[in-house]
Amino acid sequence: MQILIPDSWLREFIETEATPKQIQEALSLCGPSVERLHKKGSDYVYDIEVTTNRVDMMSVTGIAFECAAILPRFGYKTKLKNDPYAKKINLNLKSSVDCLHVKVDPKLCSRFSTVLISNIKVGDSPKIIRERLELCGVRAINNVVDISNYLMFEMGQPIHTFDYDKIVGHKMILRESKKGERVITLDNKEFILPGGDVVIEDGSGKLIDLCGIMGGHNSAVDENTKNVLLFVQTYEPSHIRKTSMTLAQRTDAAVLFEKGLATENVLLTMEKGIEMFGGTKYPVLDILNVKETIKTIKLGKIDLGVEIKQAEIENILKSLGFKISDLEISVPWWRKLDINIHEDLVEEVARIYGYHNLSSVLMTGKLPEPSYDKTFFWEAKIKSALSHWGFTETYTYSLVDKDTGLKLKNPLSSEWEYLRTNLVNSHLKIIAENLGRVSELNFFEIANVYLPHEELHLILSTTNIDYARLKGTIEALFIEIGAKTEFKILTESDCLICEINLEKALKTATTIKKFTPISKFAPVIEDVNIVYTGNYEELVKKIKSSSKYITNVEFVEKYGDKLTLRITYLSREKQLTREVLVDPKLYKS
Amino acid sequence: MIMESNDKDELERLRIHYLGKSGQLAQISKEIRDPEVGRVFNEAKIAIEQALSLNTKHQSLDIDMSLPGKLPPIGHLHPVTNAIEEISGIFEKIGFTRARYPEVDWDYYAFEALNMPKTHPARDDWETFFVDAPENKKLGKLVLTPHTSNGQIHEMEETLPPIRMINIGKCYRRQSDVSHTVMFHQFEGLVIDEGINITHLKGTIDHFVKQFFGKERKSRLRPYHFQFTEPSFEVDVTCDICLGKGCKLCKEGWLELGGAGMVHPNVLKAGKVDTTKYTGFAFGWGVERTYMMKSGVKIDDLRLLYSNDIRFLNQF
Repeated sequence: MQILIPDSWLREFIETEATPKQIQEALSLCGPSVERLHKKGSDYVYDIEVTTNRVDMMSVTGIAFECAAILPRFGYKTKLKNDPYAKKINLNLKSSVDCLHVKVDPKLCSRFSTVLISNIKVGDSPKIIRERLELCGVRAINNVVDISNYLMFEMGQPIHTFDYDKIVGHKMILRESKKGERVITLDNKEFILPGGDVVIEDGSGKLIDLCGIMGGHNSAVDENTKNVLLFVQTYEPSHIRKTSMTLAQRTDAAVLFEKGLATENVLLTMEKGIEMFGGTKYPVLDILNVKETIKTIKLGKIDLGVEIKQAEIENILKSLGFKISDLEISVPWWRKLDINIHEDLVEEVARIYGYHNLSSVLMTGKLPEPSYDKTFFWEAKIKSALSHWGFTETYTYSLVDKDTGLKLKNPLSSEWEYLRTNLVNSHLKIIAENLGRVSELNFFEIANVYLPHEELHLILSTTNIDYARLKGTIEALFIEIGAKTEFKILTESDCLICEINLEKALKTATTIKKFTPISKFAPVIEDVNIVYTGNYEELVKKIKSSSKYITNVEFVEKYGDKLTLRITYLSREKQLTREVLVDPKLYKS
Repeated sequence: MIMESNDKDELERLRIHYLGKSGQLAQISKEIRDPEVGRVFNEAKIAIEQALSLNTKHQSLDIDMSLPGKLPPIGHLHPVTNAIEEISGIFEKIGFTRARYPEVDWDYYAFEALNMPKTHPARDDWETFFVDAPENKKLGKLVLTPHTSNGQIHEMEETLPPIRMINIGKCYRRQSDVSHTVMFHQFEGLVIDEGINITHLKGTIDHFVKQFFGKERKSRLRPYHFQFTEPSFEVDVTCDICLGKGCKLCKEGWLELGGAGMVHPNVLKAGKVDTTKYTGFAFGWGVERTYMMKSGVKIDDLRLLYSNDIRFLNQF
């Protein structure tokens, strides 16, 4: 989450000698990351990234709290002022009010609070409010709308305002929407709801609010509004997330609500809101549907690799609002969503102590059992060999538009709907795409296919249609890995492709070479021409079985129906002469 | 000696010395009795004759040495492979073992056992790909793992501490734009042993940063949030352009490398690791991103990496 916070606004809540640049550096090291610092006129604006677990920092007050804990650690005297969380709430709270009849589904709304503010005059906000909102990237609209935006930035609690007189029956039913219900939001967009969204109905079936996302157009404040309902709630987060994502309405309010907001902040914000409107004579309707409890955690051992004194640990925790009695740590309400276990406390202590103050050492101790998986070794060897033989490695997507294997439930596009069961189709595609870009394409890739179990395959594809060359490359590869497996070369019109089950091939791969002592005698080598009728392997077998001295049969060339073969005769006991040569006529098939 | 000589007179002198009527070889040949020795002798004589004739051939050929040479066929490894090889090499030298775990995995390994709440955004249909297949009663839905962290639980199930694992693999997320591709690669480090704390994580990261990016680059940890680590960090590296001073291309001198943290006790428990005895740390970073931060290869659209355009691949 990103938030823009003007320096002048922040300093309304802290008194510090740190400059904006110093605040930026200190916060980034120990708290939220201040990604940029912008100078705007005489003011500065912090552009801050807040992690999703720290929704309490999505506000000026939340950042002020962090500053108060962090800045003194860097030697900058800093203290909180106008601490909004320390304020005693002084509101006239009622569980029902005359001006509005409400029915709230307690599962959807953890706190429902609203108050009527009458006889307001819609106009421009004071200059300071308009300026601050603009620094936060929000357009000032009118005093009513601006108050809600201003308070959301200051307190981190979204607010809504209804035109009271537009809610004809003065009735509100907060419930789940039904599929197909329609609502028009403030920005004049109409939505047909998927169902299960949190909405408010006015009792006549008309929806007046798409809760947590945006208010309804039919109940919106306009220049003629006289009476306003100031509306501060907290909702069940997953409902808000679902609606916001389904309708693609990622409003600031939705982003906050979907993280889960503390009910304790509702009345603090309500009180400030009433104050900004200049007060009200009406009581506040407040329905709390959850129990507000104080969470406690037992403080255990903290091992940060350096010694930190107990007193310092306690000081750090206190500076963040934690209360300590006998190692029982009470979590402040604004942190109860993210602080749950002892390790969460360790993180608080460690980050405020400063990760940059911890030393940096490599592990000692026992090494793990070595791995016997040699697949990585072979993969690297194969890749190296093929690239040196002129083949270029590709990485194609495992997701394809059509296949027979696993299908995605929620594809991003029809181009990536299936997990592939072969690599051939991917390579046919890239060959086609690359045709004409260079004179010859030679590709290879090692990747999993999904059958649905993952199986490592190797593919070679080339536009050089010399069959023997590709076959020879694969045979050479088998020599490299000391193992072989069956393979089939597909002959397409403009390319040759061969996909190999690498997992199978690698099962017997070995670096161990068998050494045969070199014979002291010279070999006798003869080139013979043989009429060939097919089945080369059979022929070689036949030749080899014809003499115990034949150690090698090498293919030289094929011309018409004749094969030229080079046959090597060798003995380890004696020098052979041409007498041992076998008459090639015997090889006739 | 024969092959290296350029001097005609010298070559002639050598020829007479070895092959002449009363040369060295003629002398020796008189004394040979054993046929085996005779064979070796003949081989040596042939070799000398060949060397002499080759040398003279070279000199007589018309060679223009200024013309370009003939290259052997040159293929190219994909930049992702180069990055993976380099990264795993660095970690293997400090005792990490490379592992490979499923890319299509159960929800349990990708989320549930990693302490991700049921309602976590990563577990919904907008961020992660799900396979259209029946759920496993115990392990949940079948997902395309959005991170290599699923390897953490697999590793703990298969190996007892001490663990130093580096898992590099394909990941998938439902996002495709100039800085995101639906398929990408991560490398996941996991260390579990007695007495492991943040200083070890810092030490390991510093070691990697200096080895991979160069000794002038520095790293730092910033507080961050991940469900499966506590505390969690974001790791930054000083910018390669300004080396930490701050410039247009970085955030005040720093570039984000990725996430890291101390393994959350719930994750250790899910992996059946005794949390009273062992602690650990983990990190999971994008291979593509890490590689681009190193090499100064500024690819303005990441999707180019998976376009397999030969004009792109030929440059690596």
